[in-house]
Amino acid sequence: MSVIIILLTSASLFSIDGLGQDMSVFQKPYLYIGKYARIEFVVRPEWTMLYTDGDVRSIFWSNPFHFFLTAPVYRGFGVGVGNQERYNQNVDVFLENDDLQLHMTSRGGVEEVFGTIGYRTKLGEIVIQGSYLFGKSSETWNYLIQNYNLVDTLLYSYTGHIFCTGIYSKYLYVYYETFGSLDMTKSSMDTSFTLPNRIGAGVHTMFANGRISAGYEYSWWEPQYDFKNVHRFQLEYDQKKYSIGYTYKPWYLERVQEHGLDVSYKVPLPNLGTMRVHLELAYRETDNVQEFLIAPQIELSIRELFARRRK
Amino acid sequence: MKHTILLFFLLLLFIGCNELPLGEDELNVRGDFNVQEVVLERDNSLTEFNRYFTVGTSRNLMIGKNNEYESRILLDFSFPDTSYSGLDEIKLILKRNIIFDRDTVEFSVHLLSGSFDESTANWYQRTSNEWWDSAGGDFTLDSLCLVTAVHDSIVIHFNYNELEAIQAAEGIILVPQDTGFVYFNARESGVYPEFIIVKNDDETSFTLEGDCSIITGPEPFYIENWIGSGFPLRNYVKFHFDPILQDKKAIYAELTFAVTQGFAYRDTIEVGVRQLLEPFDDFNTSIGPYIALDQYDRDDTLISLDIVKHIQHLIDHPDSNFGVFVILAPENYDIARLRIQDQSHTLKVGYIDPPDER
Repeated sequence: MSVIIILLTSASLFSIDGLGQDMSVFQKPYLYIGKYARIEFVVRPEWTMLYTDGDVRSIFWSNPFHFFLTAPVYRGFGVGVGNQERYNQNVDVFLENDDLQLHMTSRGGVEEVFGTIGYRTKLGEIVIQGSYLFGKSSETWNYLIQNYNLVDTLLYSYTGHIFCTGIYSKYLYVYYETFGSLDMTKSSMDTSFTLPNRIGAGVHTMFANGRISAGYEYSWWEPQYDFKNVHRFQLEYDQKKYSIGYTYKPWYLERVQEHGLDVSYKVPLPNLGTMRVHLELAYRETDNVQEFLIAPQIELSIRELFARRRK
Repeated sequence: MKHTILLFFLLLLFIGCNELPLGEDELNVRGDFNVQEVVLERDNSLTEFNRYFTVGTSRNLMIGKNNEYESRILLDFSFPDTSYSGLDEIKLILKRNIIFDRDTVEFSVHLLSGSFDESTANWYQRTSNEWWDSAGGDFTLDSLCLVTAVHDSIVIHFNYNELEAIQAAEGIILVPQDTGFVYFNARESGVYPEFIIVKNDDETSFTLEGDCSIITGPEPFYIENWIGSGFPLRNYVKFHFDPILQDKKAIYAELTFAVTQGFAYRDTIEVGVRQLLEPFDDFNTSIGPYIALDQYDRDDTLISLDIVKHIQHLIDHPDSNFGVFVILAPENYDIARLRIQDQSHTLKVGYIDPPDER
């Protein structure tokens, strides 16, 4: 069994639109079934810096824990449970318009709890995943004009589900996410979203004492939505201690582009396990504003300790 | 190296955590946040009064009169059923509330022939269901004494005969004899009127059973615009709801009116607005809590109040535009009155489109 503690996070100005930032980009459903159970805890602090016309504004965020538990069960079968953030709606933005000063903050989003069943064959791993979606968010609109102040709050709550299946083999992987539905309850009228279908595929092979992998993902919405169908790409190189990855992940919102870079370094912890230090960098832009993301992350694994006890 | 990395993250955390309006264009995806303004058309304004208003819970006891108002003070002390002898002093002490201006007012002290309930007594009624035989209180024509209110504390001395008469009466009433006003502390203020006997340097204070003022005042023609306290005058005003405000978010609603004359005995006055909960009928039309309340100098000639809560209520419930009462607050605190210039009420509403929901 291994325990991995990861410290990570996310939030973006562009989360003000649609359902917020899609946090499930390139989230693969695989369990990577091995000999031991594995558990991960995730917390991610983040600094987001906005830049426009020489002005800079930075915002600090921190998200709650996420966890992921996988365990081998019987004759190649494995199960996994976990949670993650599906859509992040954290926003903090100011507007000055003549006499009006408007401060809008939003907190919350859509969370996901998933259960996965996997089966490991000689060809690779086959998984089926079902997810329950839920969550709440609140937006506070604080208007200040002359000496008058008014605060308005919008509340949302969400429930829904989505399913995913995939195959992971020695040289390639494919996954497909579908039957996604999300009900949004709000003050005016309730809305139901059909979430986008998503298909992803990739190849990976050993290269220069490491492993190199390339991935592609395409998600598409039903025609009635004013959201963009997007192609995304990912390239990763992973050595024993170092890894580096680049991701091109435009948003489903028409105007938002994003490029991400993730580097990590693994530190051995004698008699305990390993610690991997990540640094995720991202650059997002629209025609008007650029956003830089810096999100450090720490991953602690004590797998070796448990492995030694099992001997 | 370690220190450099640590310093880098600390800089990220603390530098630039400001409130610059960066990325404000992104807000436009949720709506148009340009502030618009509309001036609502006045529908009607008039004045209502209540001659049966009670001020028994006021923190002040008011005495005085002018050509329109008169206020008297009722006091009732509880005396043990005993006779007294060898007393050095018999006295009533009233302490002035110094936040008010004072006039030099002469008043007379009379015995009450009818009992009163301080919470329901007014110029015409001594209790909620019993009337004075004579408006202004039933009392003996002959006064016990004449007193002039000059200093911060008024001490009225009595003799044995007067003490016995007071014990036998239903209380005493202080009646102003000349113009001007003086404000004493009522027991609601924590500073009690005291009736004290002194014997061999020992002071005995009697329990105060009730203290209140009863006030009569002007009853203006209803189309005039007044606000007043003590003898309360409420200014009813209603504006036409502009359909342009439907589905909008009101940011401010500035109700202004001009004051042409008035009087008050304190430097600052409070003006408030309460919303009618049902169609206007009279002074006692059901009203909600204060939706605006602010202080002004008594010499101010322009009053401005933000009644955005009223406008937002109308936006949410367009069928409930029953108008508002402008009130000189608290209505039982003191005697004051302001005349509002006719046709001077204006209501300017600033609004924006509310943000689109996700």
